[in-house]
This record gives sequence, C-alpha cells and structure tokens, in this order.
Amino acid sequence: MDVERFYLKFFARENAIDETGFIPIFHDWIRLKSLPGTLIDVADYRHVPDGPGIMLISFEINYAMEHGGGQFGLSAQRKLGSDGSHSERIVELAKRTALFGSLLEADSRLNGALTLDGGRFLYAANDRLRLPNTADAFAALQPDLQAAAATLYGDQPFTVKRVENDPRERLTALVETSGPVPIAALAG
Amino acid sequence: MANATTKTYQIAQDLPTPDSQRMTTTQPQSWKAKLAEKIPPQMADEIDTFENQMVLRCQGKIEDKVFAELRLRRGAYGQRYDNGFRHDGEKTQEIAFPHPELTKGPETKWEAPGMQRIKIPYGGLSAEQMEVLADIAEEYSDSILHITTRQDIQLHFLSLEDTPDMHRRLAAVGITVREACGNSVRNVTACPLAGVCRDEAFDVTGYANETANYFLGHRDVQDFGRKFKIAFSGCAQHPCGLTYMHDLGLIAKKRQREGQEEIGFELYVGGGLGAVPHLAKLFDDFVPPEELLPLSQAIARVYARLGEKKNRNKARIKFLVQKLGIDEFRRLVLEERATLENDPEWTQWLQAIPQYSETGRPEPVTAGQVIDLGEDAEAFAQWKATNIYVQRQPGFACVTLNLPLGDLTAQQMRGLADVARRFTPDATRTTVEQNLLLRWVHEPDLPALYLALKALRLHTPGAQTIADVTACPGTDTCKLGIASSRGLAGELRQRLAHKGYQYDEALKDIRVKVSGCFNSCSQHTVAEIGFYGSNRLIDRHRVPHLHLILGGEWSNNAAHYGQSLGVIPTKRVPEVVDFLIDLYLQGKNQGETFSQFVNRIGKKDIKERVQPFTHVPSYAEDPSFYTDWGDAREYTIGDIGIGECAGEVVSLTNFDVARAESLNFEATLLLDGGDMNGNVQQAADKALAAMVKAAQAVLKAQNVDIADDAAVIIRDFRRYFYDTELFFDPFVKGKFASYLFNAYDNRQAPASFDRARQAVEEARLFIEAAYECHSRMMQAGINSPGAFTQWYETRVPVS
Repeated sequence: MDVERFYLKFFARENAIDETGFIPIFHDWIRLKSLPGTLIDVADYRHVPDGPGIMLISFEINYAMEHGGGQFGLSAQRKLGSDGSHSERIVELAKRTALFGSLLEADSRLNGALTLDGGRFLYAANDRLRLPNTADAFAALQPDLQAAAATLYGDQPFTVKRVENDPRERLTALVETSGPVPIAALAG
Repeated sequence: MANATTKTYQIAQDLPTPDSQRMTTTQPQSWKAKLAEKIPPQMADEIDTFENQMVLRCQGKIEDKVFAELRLRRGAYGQRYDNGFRHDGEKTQEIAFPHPELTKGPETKWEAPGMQRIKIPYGGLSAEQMEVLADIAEEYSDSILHITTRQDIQLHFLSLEDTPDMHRRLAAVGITVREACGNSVRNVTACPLAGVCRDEAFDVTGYANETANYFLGHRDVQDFGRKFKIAFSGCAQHPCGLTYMHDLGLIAKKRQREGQEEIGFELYVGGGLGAVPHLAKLFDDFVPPEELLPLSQAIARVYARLGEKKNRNKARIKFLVQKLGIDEFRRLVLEERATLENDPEWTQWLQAIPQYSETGRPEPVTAGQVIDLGEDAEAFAQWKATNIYVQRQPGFACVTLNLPLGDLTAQQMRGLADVARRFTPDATRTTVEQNLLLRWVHEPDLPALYLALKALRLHTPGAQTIADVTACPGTDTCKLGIASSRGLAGELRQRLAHKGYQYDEALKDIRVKVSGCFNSCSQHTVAEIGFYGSNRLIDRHRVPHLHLILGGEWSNNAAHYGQSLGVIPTKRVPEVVDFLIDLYLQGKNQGETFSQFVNRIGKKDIKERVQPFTHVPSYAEDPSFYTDWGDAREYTIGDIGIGECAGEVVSLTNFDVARAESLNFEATLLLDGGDMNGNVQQAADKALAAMVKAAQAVLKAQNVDIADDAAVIIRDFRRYFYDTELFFDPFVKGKFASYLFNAYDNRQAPASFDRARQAVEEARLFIEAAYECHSRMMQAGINSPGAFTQWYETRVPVS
C-alpha cells in the first residue's frame, strides 16, 4: 500500500496544561535544529476549541500539541513521501513523534507537567482517495499497522482496532499495548 | 524521510516534455479520474493547464515571475518565510528545503508552505461544499479553515504540489479558485442577510453571483493594473456589504416611475481602504438590472485602458477616479458603454434570479418536542441576545457563529454541515466579520440548534460585538505582516469577553479590528477602535507597535474612516483598549456612540491622554516589550518579505512611503472644513511631516536605522539623494526635493489656508516622486544598504 499521508496521535495523561509554555520551546527547537527534518515555524491555535493548539510546522510533518476529539495529546501529520513501505513509514513517524514527545516531556520549562502515553496511539489515514473510511480499506491497512506495532512494541502484546466514527471522517485505528510504555522508549 | 522529494519536481526531471497525464497515471488512482464526471469541462481544463504549468516551471520552461502570476490567479499565495529564510530571534537562518534551487516565484521556494484562497461568491456555502472544504483542510492543510473579511476561505501551510487535486475536489462541488488573487475581479461579496434582511430593498444574492459568473475569466478584466473588488448591499445603512469601500459597490434600490415600482442599484466606484482610504463616489443613483453588467463592463474597460500599470501603488481604480474626477470618469465610461456591442449574456441571467429565492423548512425540526436546556438555559439566553437576527419572514431567524479570529476546525465544519442540513434549507453564508451565518432557522428550533452547536463548540456568544475582534493573518503567515495581529486579537478577545463587554448595551456595538500592516485587511479603518502594525527602534532593539485608529464607524455602512492617533507599543494595547472603554463609559452623553464621543472629545485630546501608554521600558527592565503576542522570539522586522498581493513588491520603503501618504491624507482631512476650522497650521505641519516621512522612507535603502529626527533626515536626504541627483525627476529635476527643503526652512512661519493647501499638494507630489525614485532604485539594483554604498562610492569617490 502506497500511502504517504497519515496522522498519528499519542495521548497525554494530563487533560490540561498551560500551552503557552510550548511556544518558546518550539521556537528554540527551530533555532537549535533540535529535531530532524526541515523545521519552519510555530503556529498558535489556542483560540480554537478542540483545535490544533500549538503546532510546530516542518516541511515533512506538522506536529501539534492538540485537542482534536476533545483529547489532549501530541499528533504528527505526515505530509511527504520517501522510500519505504507503509508500515516502515508508520514506524518512522512514530519514532519521530516519540522523539518530539520525549524531548518535550524532558524540557525543564514544563516542570514535568507533561506525560505522554507511548503505549497507545491513533492512526488516521489522511488520504481519502487511497484509504477511504471503509471496512475494506481497514482490512488492507491492518497488516501494515500490525507490522508497525510489532516493530515498535517488540514482544509486548498489542491490539489494532478500527475506530467506529462518522464515515466522512478519516479511516482511524487505535493501536494499544497492554502495559504502560514511556514515550521515550519508542524514540530509539 | 530525509529523502523526501517533490513529486512534480521529480517528474519534471524524468520527462523530456510536460505531460500532466503521466503525472496522474503513475499513481494507482487519482482524484482527476475519480472526479472526471463531476467537474465541468472548462474547470477541468483550467486545472490540467495549471498542473502542466507546474511541470513546465520545474523544467525551467516558464519564468518564475510568470509562474507566480499564474499560480496567484489560481489563488495559490506564498506565505511568510517562503524565501527560505527565517529570523529565529537571534539571527536569520536558512530553511533547508530539499530543492532550494526550485522556485515558484521570484525568491519564493517551491517547497515552502503556502496559502490557498478559495472564493465563495456572496459567501454562499452548501453543506456538501462544507464537507469537501473540511476534507481538504484535513488532508492538505493544518485542519483549520479561516474565513476572511471578504467572505473567502483560506487554508494555510499547504504544499503547492497538492493544489491541482485540491482544486479538482473543490471544482467537483462547484467552487472555483480562478482569479481568487491576481489583477482581476476578486470574490464578489454581498450582504449575508440578503433575502432575509428587514431593511433591504430586495435580495441581491442572485445579482452578486451572476456578476461573479459574468466576469470570471472575462477578457475585459484580464488587463488591470491591480485587483478589482465588487460588493453588493441590500440597503444603504448597514455595513454587512461594505459597498462604500469597494472598487465597485452596488446598493439595492427601489423607485416609483409612472406608477410602477422599479428595482435597480445605486452604483458607487473608486472606494478602497489600504494605506490611503477612499470613500467610493456615486456614479449613478439608479442602474436598472439590465444595465448592471454592461455598465460594469464599461467601467472595467476604462479602468483597464487608463488605470496606472507601472506604479502598482497607484494602480487601484480609486486613483484613476481621483485623478480624472468622478464627472470625467463617468463621461468616459458612458462613452465606452455606447461603443459596446450588445452581449446576450448581459440580460440572459435575469431569468435565473427567481431561482435564488429561499424559503425555510416547512416545519420546525423540533415541532412537538420540549427541549430542556437545563443548566444551559442562562448561556442560551446570552447567546440568543447577541447571536440571533430575526428575519423579516415571521418565525425565522439567522444565527451567527462567532468564530475565534475567523477560524474553525475541519471537524467543526463537517459537523456544521450536518447542522445546516438539519435546521436550515442548506443556507449558510460567510460574513465580512469572519463568521458564519445560518439562515432560515425556525425560532422554535433555536434551543435545539444551540445544543447542536454546543456539541461542536460553536456556541460562543458575543457575535458581532466588541468581543468579536477581527484580525488579518499578520505575522502569523503573511509576508507583509509587521505585527502579530492575530496574537493581539486573541488576547483582546479573551479579555473583553471575560469582562462581559459583549453584553453591555453601551459597548457591544463597538468593533475592534487589528491589521498586521497598513493594508487594512482587517478593515481597521472603519472600526470604532482599529489598529495596524508598525515598529520602533528603541534601546537599539526593534519594538512591535500598532497605530491606534479612532474615528471610524462600522455602522452607517462603514461610511466614516478613522485616522491614526500615533503608535502604541503592542504589549500596552490591551491597557489602551481598557482605558478608551473607561473613558467612553465615564464621559459619554446619553445615546452618544463611541465615534461621536471621539469626535466630541477630539482626537488631539485623546492622543494626549493615551500618551502615557506609549512609554517602552528599556530592554533590561522588561524584555517582554521586545517580543510580540504569541511569539517567543525577540521581535524583528527581518522577516518582512516581498508581498504577493497580485505580485506586488513591497519593501520597507514602500511601507514608510505609504505611511507618509496616510499622513498627508490626514492633512487633507484637516482642511476639509475650510479655513475657519482651526486646523490649518496642523494640516501644514502634517504635510511637512509627510514629506519628511517619505524622505526617511527612501533613505532606508541607504540606512535601515535612519533616525526619526527631521534635521538628520533632511541632512542625509540632501547628501545622498539631492546632491547625487538620485531623487531627480527626469523632467523637472530637483523640483520635488525643493518642496521638502522649502517647507522645512519655513516651518516656523504661520500657515495660511492657501499655504497649507499648497503644502498638502506639494507633499502629494513629493510622495509620488519618492515612489518613483524607489522604483528606479529597485530597477537599478539599489535595493539594500550594501548596494547603496556600492552605488554611492561610484558616484562619490572616497578620497
């Protein structure tokens, strides 16, 4: 399956945090080139209810500490293609997101206020042409997600379930392990 | 992902000739194939052509300047930092795009994220269109849809690579992006209450849409010097359509003739905001519908033929009308009209007008049900007090969705499509106050609608009140932004709503609008409290500031423009707004509006009272003044780039010359009342200040940090621009420069009315010469202090 655009989201254990604190951190990361990729800018959407919160825009990925679906967490929207299979791309994006999350958790300016759950993430296909929100498409997607989850979680058991949502929404799946996984553990 | 590549670029490298078919057939499935049956052939051809042009640009077969205009005419704008550089608060860093050699316009990187403007004629949206807009925002953008002050929708952070498919998906639901930008007819706007307004003469919806259709791609609107904006209003008194500030404004009107009622339009021409606001002039007090298109066409042809083409700063139709005078302009247009051959399309569309008529659903959705609002009852009452407009059709209401800074998420838009289907006859409109309007809601359905909107978090009260602050994109994404208009607007919105001002009868009708620069995209000139971006050099650091604009009036169809009272440091603006509100509440007479209060107290007095807020602490004392709202970086103007408004090149000099123009405009206003109004000296002083500002503007090419001291400016201007003859006009040589020197030398002499009027005229000519001088310098490559030094040394050998 040749899918370039998809989205992952790791949930925060906290429901609320002063998001203003993310702004200087993200600007510093751009200045110091703290993340791989071509980092471009910070976007502030704190005013939008259940919106993208604070975003770090890069050429390849839009990262966001966001509130989509009413759940606070770290999302990464993959925009561009590169080599590799779909499952390899999922693994790569998960690792990049985990690196982002682990750096954020560790930033002293947040005083430990943020903890991300590495053992559970949403996948959403951001490509209604190749992966419409249908049972058939999920059947095609599932092996890729399983292969990616196996790479990410090793021997830990996990499940891949389709999220029942509005058919107009993106095809979405929840990948979940049985035990807690620190986000930093995925970044390696 | 390190090997991320650009699809079109790759294809362009692989193919010897452009082949858009191959681009899409290399994929297993494509939007082009999937939507082929749904896209009108002409729209499909246009999109294919653009896709081919993308390939040709990648192959270097289309010049970047030409390609920029082509994509702009498809509404695909550049965005801040797309020159590949960004100031990080300490220094400017290069953004390492994978293929920096590939550009989509002069100094505009192909791979840099851009903005897409989507035209929504008269603001009309169907639920199906809303769903597609939500999908494309989610897949190609940052999941945010932004409603603009001209009823468009904008998406940000897009890849140019995605535009052809995005355009196809929009075309499949009847939306074109053609001429969303560029020197052509932009989105035709109309009052969102058209058809349901209690005060309108008649419903202008169909007239607006048919006018948009007629001019889309029309041969007579392809050769303008600048953009051309058209707006329709159903009445003369409300600001929903803002006709007086448009290039072409139409106000619905009825008249009696020989016992028969006739409908038509008052037609206005030559209005506009921007740096130099112009109220439109009445061209004709009654244009019958069958004359609407031919007369508009004749206006377009005269504008295309006689409008300025070289100096883009003077190329809007307002300058042509001003130059010719409305009577001569009218004569030329009528002469042109007489030469036009009859076009059946001038009147065929009239048969379609009845089809635009809307009616509500036959019954309320909640008929027979009791909606228990429970603990939401109080919030519902507040929302109902501010967000509801009772239609002239009994039993129906319009509901305004108060969108924060004009933004909503893709999920909200999708949910709203359901709400529109459930509660309305699929009748949603965008508004010029960056909101959405649901029409034809049965009043008994309002509680259920409120709960449905609450579930989407679209139930914010205070629509169209003081807390519903409007802002342009500013430094968030606009290449011209000087200050963070959205950052400030977000802060003001929160503070004003927290104080409950949106429910205060004395305050709720005041509008606050914030623009990131002088270009008036937020329409700050017609707000009761307006701001636009500026900056000052203090303590050897740049400090973001905003001009405070007072005296404007949103009501009465926004027919009064405000003027600048000077600049305020951005971080003090919320205090200034609080101060102005307190001042008004404490000092207003009964029934006195905010703008009436400002005029009674006087701008001079208010300026003095606001003066204490202009103080900026030193950098060591409080560095927060040296950052902008919502931005952690130390403030800089280093990211201001080349504007893409129809390919316009805007530099620091352009900005300051425009400011000089504003000053001179204010001087002009001061003389409006004749020689007995006591403003004569102030007008003369302002005219001189305008010339000094224009001189300072051109000096910025030599020294970006040129002082504000007039004596220093005059000295340096004489040295670098007069003695070198750089400022000399090819024909009158140093005449315009002598206006400045004479005015400065005689600044202590008392001004008579005639002398002040002459000073204003001379300042106008001096400013014009400054624009010309700047243009000559740009053409000669004297576009930076380094280039200036190099040029100067060749003129004045260092001894």
